[in-house]
Amino acid sequence: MSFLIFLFIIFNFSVHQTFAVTATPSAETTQDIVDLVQQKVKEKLNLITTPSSQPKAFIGNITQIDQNQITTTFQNKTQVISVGESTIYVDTKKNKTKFTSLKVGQTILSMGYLNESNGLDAKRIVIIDPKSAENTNQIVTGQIVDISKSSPIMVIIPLKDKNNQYQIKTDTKTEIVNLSGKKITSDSLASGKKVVVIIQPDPKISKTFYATKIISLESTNTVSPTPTVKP
Amino acid sequence: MYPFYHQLVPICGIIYVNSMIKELILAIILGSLLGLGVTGGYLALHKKDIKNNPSKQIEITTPTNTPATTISETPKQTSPISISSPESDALVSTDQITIKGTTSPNSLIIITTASQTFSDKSDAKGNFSVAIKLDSGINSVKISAIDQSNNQFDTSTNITYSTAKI
Repeated sequence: MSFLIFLFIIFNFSVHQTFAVTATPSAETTQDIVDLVQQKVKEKLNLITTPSSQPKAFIGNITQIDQNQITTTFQNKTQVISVGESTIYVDTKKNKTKFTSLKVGQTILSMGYLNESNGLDAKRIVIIDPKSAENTNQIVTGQIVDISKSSPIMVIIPLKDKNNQYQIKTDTKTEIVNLSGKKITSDSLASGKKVVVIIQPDPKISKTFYATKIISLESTNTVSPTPTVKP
Repeated sequence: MYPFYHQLVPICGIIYVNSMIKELILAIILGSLLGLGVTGGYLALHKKDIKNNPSKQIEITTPTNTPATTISETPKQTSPISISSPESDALVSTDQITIKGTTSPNSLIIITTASQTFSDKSDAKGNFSVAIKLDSGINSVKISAIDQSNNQFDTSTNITYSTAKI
């Protein structure tokens, strides 16, 4: 009798285990699925985080030169440039040069592709004059506070910084347009009007700028409200 | 004649054997209960572990055509002006490119390179697309958006135009 009871218990236990195995995945299967999910997540993350295959060009001042690597900085941003045997070097006169001609303090334009560590694998490095990369144009939205009728000079106070002011010169090359892009005459500009000016500093006179374009922000179809009499 | 206690020996033996069977049955029942208890405890702990570590929770479903994993994109932070194309520090082989981005609706967009100025307006959704012409070499491109309240937002990007093979 005890033997029968023993058999019953063993049978019961084995049946329970069999159902348990079929109801939940085994440890190996679970690990496989976890690995698969992790792989898929990695692939998606790589798509988001890996650098694009588009070519890149970085400007920067050389701060360090190592055997196969150059470190540059531009606007407080550091960029590591990796060089190889196939990297081409060009000097300021557009002549081919060598890696050894690069010096700390030079400004270079490095062209190539980003690698996995966001460094640039440089294919071409051009030593450039830093001034050639400058864009001295300034875009200022402001209000005309003074405009000369005898000379092409006006004073503008920027809306962002009312403690500042710009003395702006215009000439026949200055393009004056309204919001629609249509050309208007300088007579349309008057004190109190709001404009956007694209200006460049006058190299001869300090704090004076030359306007290449003026866009009037005043609406051309301004309709003054007509008072209505309510009954 | 045997003494009376001699007759008790077989009776005690039967009683002793009977008590052994009972103990055996009791032991088997207790053993099976212990086994069930251990199994139940293991399953309960396993269930708790899955609950505490959702990463371990596996849901087996029938395969469908939809991707197995979907990563929901976090909504992009809205800024006064953002450039979607071209990428920052892009190297292009043509001097004609289009600057695309988003800003406030119906804003005036002004883009300058070192030598030229371009202007346009953003649409009702704030999208803009302005074709510009690049100078040879590196171009520091300044982009400004002036909204309908005359607030100005600025950004800039470097784009290099070169026909050299990279």
